[in-house]
Amino acid sequence: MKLEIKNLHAAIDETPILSGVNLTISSGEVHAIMGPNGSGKSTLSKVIAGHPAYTVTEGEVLLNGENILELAPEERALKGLFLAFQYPTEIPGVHNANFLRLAYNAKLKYHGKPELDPLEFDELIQEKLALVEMDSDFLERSVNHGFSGGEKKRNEILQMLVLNPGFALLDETDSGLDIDALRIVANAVNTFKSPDNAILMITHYQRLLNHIIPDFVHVMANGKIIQSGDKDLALQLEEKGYEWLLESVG
Amino acid sequence: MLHPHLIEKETEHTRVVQVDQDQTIEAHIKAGGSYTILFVQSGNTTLNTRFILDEGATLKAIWISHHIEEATQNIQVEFKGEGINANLSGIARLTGQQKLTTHTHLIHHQPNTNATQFFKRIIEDQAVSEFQGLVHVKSEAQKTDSNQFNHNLILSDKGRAIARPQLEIFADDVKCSHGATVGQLDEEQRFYLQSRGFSEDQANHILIQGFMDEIFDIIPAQLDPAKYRHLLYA
Ligand SMILES: Nc1ncnc2c1ncn2[C@@H]1O[C@H](COP(=O)(O)OP(=O)(O)OP(=O)(O)O)[C@@H](O)[C@H]1O
Ligand SMILES: [Mg+2]
Repeated sequence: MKLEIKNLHAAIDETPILSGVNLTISSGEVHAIMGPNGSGKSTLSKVIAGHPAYTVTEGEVLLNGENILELAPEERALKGLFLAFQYPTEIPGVHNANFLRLAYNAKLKYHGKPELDPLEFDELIQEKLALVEMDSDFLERSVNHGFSGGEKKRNEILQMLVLNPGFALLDETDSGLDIDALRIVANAVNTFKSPDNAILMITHYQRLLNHIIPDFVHVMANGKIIQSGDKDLALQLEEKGYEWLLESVG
Repeated sequence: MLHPHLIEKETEHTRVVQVDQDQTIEAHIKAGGSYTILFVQSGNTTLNTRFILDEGATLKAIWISHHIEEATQNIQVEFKGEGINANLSGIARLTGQQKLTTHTHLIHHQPNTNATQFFKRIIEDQAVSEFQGLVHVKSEAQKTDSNQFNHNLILSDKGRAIARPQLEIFADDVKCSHGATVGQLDEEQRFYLQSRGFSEDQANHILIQGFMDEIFDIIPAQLDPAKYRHLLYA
């Protein structure tokens, strides 16, 4: 699994948001992106996932060498991309467990594997629920509907565990989680982490990075990555803020 | 001929009514009685329903419309005692030139009554939905809690939904609300589903089902809601 973002420019309603993002993420790696509000972090995540509101004006995103920018969002997902949303969407009326099972089976089918029946799937989901310490009542509710902020984030991680993507993009999964939930979710992500998958986390808080240790930390500002380093960069940012970096790049 | 359904005190009844010709149905739910009634309406029909609710009565009424032509539903509910709970809901899928008109008229006579109206329509082609909901709260009917929702999902350029909520409130300590929405499938919801591996068509289908299931979920399991869901999906 390898994701290469090359000179990516994207706009929304003709307003440029991303202005030349370069980033390569390989299997077994954990990357973190930090950066001021409005710098384009969520935009990057949605452009990678294929949100129709954004127009890519320049550059490429390669997944295992294939440019995915021409692919529909679902094809990207089936090929192993997963986005845990900063603001997960509520879908009233759509039963959480059915939704998860259908999504899981869609992926199996895509890969030419036999689908699971509801009973078999129940076994799988119970195991994943335990990892995020979620009550099985959540499965009987509509997708994210009426979930608290933290519950939505946990549900995203549950979906990630079920769909087992090769590349997981976690957009501020830690925001809104209480202290215990943060630890639980971080443990779940660490369990998920393997030499065969890659993780990109967007976060504002160094705290998350104590739980899930990143191999690389990047700073995004004004639609670009302006600095990359190891986990010590996050500590530096925690201490000094972004001002010094923004100044040094001009 | 009018055959009033009589729900005796403290008794519980459930009933399904098929409506394929014009019908008038009246029901009187006596104190503490509970009535669940499901109307399944089709064709070129007018269905008049009138419910009289006594103290502590519970009414759950659901109107499902399928394969109609030009159909009308007149719904009148009289809250004649305290502590009444009424839950009115409806779902219709309208296609072609179909037109469904729903008039609800709730009259809260006594204090402490509770009403929810939850009517949803899926509108395709040149179909038209008209929903007119009148809630009347008498001056004695303090602490009335009466809410009305009419949600329309329009899947074509030419489909239309008309919503006319109307509140006539003569008591001062009440909670009454109405909300009408007319919209298309939500792009963010569709994207969310696609990002989980569903095609655009599958996502649309899931969202339409979800829109309907908020009503089908209200149908008691003993009435086999799946059976009626098929009527609309077919
Ligand atoms: N529909 C839109 N029209 C105009 N500008 C938009 C639109 N959507 C997003 N933007 C702008 O794009 C910029 C980047 O937004 P984005 O959500 O990517 O930021 P972010 O880095 O994720 O911020 P945060 O840390 O607050 O989550 C912001 O300035 C935002 O206002
Ligand atoms: Mg963001």
